[in-house]
Amino acid sequence: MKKRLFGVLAFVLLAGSVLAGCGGNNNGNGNGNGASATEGSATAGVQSAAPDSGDAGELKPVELTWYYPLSQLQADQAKVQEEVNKIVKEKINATVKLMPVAIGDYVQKMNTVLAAGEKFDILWTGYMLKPEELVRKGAIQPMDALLDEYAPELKADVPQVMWDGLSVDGEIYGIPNQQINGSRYGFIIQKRFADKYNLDTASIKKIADIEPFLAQIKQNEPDIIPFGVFGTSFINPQSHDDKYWVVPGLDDHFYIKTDDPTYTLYRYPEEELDNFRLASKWYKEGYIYKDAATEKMNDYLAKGQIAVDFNVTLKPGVEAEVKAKNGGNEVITVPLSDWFSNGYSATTNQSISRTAPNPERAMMLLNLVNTDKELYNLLCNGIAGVHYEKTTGDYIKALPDSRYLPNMDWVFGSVFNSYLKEGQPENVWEETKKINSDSEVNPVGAFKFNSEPVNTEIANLNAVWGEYKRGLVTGTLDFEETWPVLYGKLKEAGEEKYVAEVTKQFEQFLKDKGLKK
Amino acid sequence: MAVAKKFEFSKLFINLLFTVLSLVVILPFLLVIAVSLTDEKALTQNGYQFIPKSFSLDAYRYLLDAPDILFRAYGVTLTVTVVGSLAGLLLTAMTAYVISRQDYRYNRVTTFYVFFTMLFSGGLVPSYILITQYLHLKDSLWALILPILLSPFNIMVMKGFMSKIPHEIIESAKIDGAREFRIFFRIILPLSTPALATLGLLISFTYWNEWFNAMLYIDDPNKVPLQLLLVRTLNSIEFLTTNSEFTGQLGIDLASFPNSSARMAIAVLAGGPMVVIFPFFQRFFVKGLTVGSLKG
Repeated sequence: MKKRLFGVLAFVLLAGSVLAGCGGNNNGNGNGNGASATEGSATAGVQSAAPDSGDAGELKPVELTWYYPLSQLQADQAKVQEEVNKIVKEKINATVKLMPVAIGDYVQKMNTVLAAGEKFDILWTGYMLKPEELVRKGAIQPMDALLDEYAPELKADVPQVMWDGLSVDGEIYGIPNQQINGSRYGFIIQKRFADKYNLDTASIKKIADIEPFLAQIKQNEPDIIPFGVFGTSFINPQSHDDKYWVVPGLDDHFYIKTDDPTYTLYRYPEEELDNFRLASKWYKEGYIYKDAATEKMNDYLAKGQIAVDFNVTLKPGVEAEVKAKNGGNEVITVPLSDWFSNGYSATTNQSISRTAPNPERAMMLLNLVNTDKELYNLLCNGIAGVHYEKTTGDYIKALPDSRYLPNMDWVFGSVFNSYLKEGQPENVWEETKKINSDSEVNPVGAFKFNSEPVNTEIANLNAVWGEYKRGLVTGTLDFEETWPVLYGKLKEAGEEKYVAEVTKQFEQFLKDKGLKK
Repeated sequence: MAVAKKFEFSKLFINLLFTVLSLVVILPFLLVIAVSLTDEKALTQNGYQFIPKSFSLDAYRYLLDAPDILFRAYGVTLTVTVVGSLAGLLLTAMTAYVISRQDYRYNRVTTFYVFFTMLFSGGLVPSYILITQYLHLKDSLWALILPILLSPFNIMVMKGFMSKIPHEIIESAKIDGAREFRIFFRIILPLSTPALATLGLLISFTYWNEWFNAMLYIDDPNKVPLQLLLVRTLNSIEFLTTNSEFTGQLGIDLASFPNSSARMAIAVLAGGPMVVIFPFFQRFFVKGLTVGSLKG
């Protein structure tokens, strides 16, 4: 009896100590945050005392921490950081601690760092770590005021559509690393085949026009796959053509008609389904590889076995890029559309952490990276003469066995400041800027769907699509047979509820934007 | 005679079975080594082959071109493994010994306390906060050693073993005038060699293969352990190939990655030493298990 009583007592004590431990932790945390907040406002005070001084002498020296992903960590990182700090120290009297993280680990690591409330200044956000989600978690801070005060040139330089894409509830949460923002789909064709069979590229106006060429390849080149579709990328030309605009941010099966003042939503229009029909037909004819639904495209691309490929971003200089990937074969491009844009989907940006001890200085640094060509190229390419050499004009060439070659210019800042690499046309950045400013913009590109009410339905629909998509896109599954079955399953999965919710929110969006009364 | 023949047959069957089993285990290793020695061009043309069409040492040349990173990583992994295994084994044995003693009054409570952590843990974020903000172990090798120093499971195994040591041995030692430390180091530890050998091996494998803590806590390139180097490369390649939409848009050049043969070469260099060391350990380990030390 006594022993048991003791056991209970001990357990209570134990549980108590565990709870106390948790409590202590929270307290400590709270204190930590409190301290950082006061620290922050203290520096803010110093800043506002001398708001418009670009003079480094009056700035207190600080260290800024910057997390960003790299596809491969670089051996000479420390050397480059040292050089970077020489510039940054001189210009804004700060030092930067560069914290590259392997790209495959980036999301997990940053989520942990953010959840732990660690103090750091800048982080890369984008495609895989969406600024919008981070805002909802309270991990990053709005930067409108900072932009106006410390980076007015940068703010003016970036097109409004990008700021819109980075705004959540009317406040800006990121600085875009400017690069191409637009799509133009079309074919990439190996030049050796185009020449051999005298392909008249001018005659190809829509997808189906390539068919005779595919037939020739099929007939005469037994080792070559005529059309490279492997189900991972989707042929989806309807995202914009002369008839339709896709509604972005949904499942890519909602469309509105171009120039339709009523903005009526279309779900699975016939024209979209025709693409699946075409895929079925091509698969039967043998233009699509027989194991396309299960194989990896890269395995065949690398050997130069794919004659025609469909691509949604035929940007300037794409020929050189593709050539490097497809076994060194020359290619030509046949665009099927004009440049268009669905708005900026926050692909690659820098954001400032909520825990940043020095947000003002972080903004100065970001401004510097995006305006100082020397600093930017140091981050992208390393040190001149050590990691790369200048050839002619703005062209550079990486030195053999370079110990600093991140090859990810878009992770650091606006690529328009970067030196040119071999194969890029000389005016590539002017062209790209022109595309960004001139491309036709989706009239409903700003629509943001709140998926919360139909999360279950979306998960179910995705599961159903996941089962059929690769089969349909590669034509492995016959469209006419599969579609009724698939559609039935989609209905069971909650298709109607999802469509109703989208329609409701879309109508609301149209009203709010004044697009429809 | 007929019996003997039948006997032969069953022997043949067993031998065959184990030959096949061993092949299943060994062949992938051989393939990794073979691929690491194959010319990259031959790989894209013919796929993976056991006998390289064209032999090449390029992959190793590529890796050993900047050997400092690799050697440093070796150093880090070795240090962490040796220090971690020794300290971990000692602490495991000590904890297990204490809770295995029947005359320790709170042994059930303490056992429960250890057992409790096996079921519930603070989780990732609290651990991260503890390590980085309270213990300030970021970029320190201790961040690789401490989090996995004591595993409750190992303690339980050890406790199971130690509670089979007759209490009389301890009592007689006491009568002979030994104090607790002497009893532990001179009597209990030698009697527990089989368990120590087994757990020692398990713990050292855990340390050798550990990379997750390193990913979280280590930013200094000079303190990256071997496995993290490997995992990083593989993760990044995996990420880039599964997110082709993203890479297509941004123009990441997959060609700049270590090609398949280089990846295999990393695997050989990372796993190689363990493959060599293991048989040596294993002999010790099997011996320890079979000697049976409860002779008194």
